[in-house]
Amino acid sequence: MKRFFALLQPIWEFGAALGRRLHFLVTSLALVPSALARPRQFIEQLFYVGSVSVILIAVGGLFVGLVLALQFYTALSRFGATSSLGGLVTLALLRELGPVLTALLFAGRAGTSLASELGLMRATRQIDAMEVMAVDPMRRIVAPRFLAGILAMPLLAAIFSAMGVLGSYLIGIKMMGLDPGVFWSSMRHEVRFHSDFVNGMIKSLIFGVACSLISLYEGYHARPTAEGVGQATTRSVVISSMAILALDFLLTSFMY
Amino acid sequence: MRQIRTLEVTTGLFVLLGVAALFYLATQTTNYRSYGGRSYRVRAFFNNVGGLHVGAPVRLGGVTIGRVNLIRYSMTRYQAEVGLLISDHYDKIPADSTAAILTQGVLGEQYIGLSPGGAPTFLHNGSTIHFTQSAIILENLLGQLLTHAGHSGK
Amino acid sequence: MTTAALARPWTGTPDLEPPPGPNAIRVRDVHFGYGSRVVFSGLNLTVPEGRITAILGPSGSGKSTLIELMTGQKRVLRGEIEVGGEEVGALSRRALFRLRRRMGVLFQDGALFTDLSVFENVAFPVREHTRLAEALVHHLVLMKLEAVGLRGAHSLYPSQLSGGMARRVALARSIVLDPWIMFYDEPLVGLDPIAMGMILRLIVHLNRSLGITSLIVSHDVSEMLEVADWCYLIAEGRVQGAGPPAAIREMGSPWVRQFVSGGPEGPVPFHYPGRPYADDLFGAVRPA
Repeated sequence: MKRFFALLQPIWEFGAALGRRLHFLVTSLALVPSALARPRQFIEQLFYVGSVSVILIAVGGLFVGLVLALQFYTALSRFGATSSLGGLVTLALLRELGPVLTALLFAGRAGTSLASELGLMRATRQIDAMEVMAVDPMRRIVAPRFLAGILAMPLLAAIFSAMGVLGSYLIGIKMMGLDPGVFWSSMRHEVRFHSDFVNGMIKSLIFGVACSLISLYEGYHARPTAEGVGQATTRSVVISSMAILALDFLLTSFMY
Repeated sequence: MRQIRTLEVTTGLFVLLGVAALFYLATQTTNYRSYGGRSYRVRAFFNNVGGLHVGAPVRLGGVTIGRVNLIRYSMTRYQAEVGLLISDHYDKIPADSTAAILTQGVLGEQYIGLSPGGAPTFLHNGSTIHFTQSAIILENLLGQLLTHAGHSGK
Repeated sequence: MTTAALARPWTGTPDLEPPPGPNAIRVRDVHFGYGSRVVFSGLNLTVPEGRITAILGPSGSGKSTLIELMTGQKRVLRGEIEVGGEEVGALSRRALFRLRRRMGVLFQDGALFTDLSVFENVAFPVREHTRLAEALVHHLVLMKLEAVGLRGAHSLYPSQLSGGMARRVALARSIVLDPWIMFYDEPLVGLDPIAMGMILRLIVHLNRSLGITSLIVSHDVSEMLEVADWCYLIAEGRVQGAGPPAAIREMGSPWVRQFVSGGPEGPVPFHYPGRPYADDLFGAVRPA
């Protein structure tokens, strides 16, 4: 009997861990209106999670677009179908690579900085100080960062995909000499507004929620030591990346 | 205070850039145009729609002017009913035009091709295209071809 | 009554008579621990209103935990803590926040907000809890900074401050809304003698001139005996002795004497308990 319960222990702990994160999510979501009511703090956080990532995202998107165009061009030319290059690259970007790669880069750039910032606030007792000043740290620290993360993600994903399209244009038209008319019209024919563009953005929004939530949770609940902050930062990237890839599979299978 | 200004301006630029990217992707790289804008509905009945599916383009002289928005079987006419959504820009299509289910390339996607007739009245919202030509089923075609070949070889 | 008679050396019974006068905090039979580690087992004490009370004890005796229990950051396992007539453990979050607005806490290392300037740090509680005009906030903050002698440093950031200065800014921040009670968590730890003197002077000044009830948790025995009106010695989860400073100095218990004088020899052993030395060195079985 004892051994049976010992077997259940990890399941129980996993459930409890999931429950704590769910509670954190619900609390943060409930505080979103209060974050909107204080635009100054929210704008400041939008800067720290969004603006600082723009260069990384734009450069990343450009290179992914260049590579995709090169690879697809080689593959398509074997079928004599290079006229579909524009559509194919854009489909790949909007449906899959834009949201997913942006989220992974976001987890590495903005996610870690959120986790380490909150972890440091925990370790230097700034969160406790706020708490005893009768200021709710969830409202004052977590909510504006959470909202900023959710909003920044789709915007960054859009920048990523747009830069990717630019990259594929450079390869397809400037380098391989495809006809611009065929290139652009293949996009408009192949890519559907609703099922490709809108669904991609919904994915991105959900990744934004997951990434911000995980980073903030890990930082907020970091052990209040220097070691704890480091661990929280690492965990935020690891868990975020896994969550993004798993969520991507789930969302893709539901959406398409 | 000056630091705060830079922060706000940079954030503003970021949001602007993001929204511009969203707008660009939505309008320039997708079929958003043919969805947005105003359009009118037309029906056509076919004996066989073959591999046509919802969202397939409707073309007039090779130019996409609309999309298929509905495919169902009509139990009153015992034919397949196809709903077409045609952009309002093309409101002078003669009422006696012919709709055919065509295939792009040999094995490509199927689409609806319209060929204009000569009637003085035009297709409008709710009207029906009477002259239709069903999808060519490759199996039937091959079958016929083989029988013909057999006969001629006799 | 002599001071020696006022002091009640540890007799094995946790019940110690409260000091005279009205009480700000009453701690009754408090039990607390983390998992299997017991921090308090039947703690009883009272903090008199308008006085400076020092809680002294060795590191790890749960002094800081006691403050966290009093401010409602942690909840007791058993017993009750009454602050200002309200039982902290039974309060709703809303009521607890209302109570906390009457409290000030000075954390061990100040816990200043690193992304805000000194001015904004001190202004933080004002902006969060009031809707004062900017000019008024400005005056209020500069007044408090002047009181701790750091008006000139208002535009600096926490990373530019020395340990003593950071703690004085934190003090200004915790008194900016004129609390009724101040908790000081190891206010002297890690400070040089000059900074220590400044903090002590400020604590005494705040108490004497504004009548703020003060509770200091510390292991700097000699300094605390200088400023406190009433002292508690805690160790092993309960109060080991209580009384005014003079009485504490004369207390008979060998434990108290070792703690007050800071001797290496006494009931608190230098060696962590373990197997006999010779066994560890020459024993056949290697320690795990």
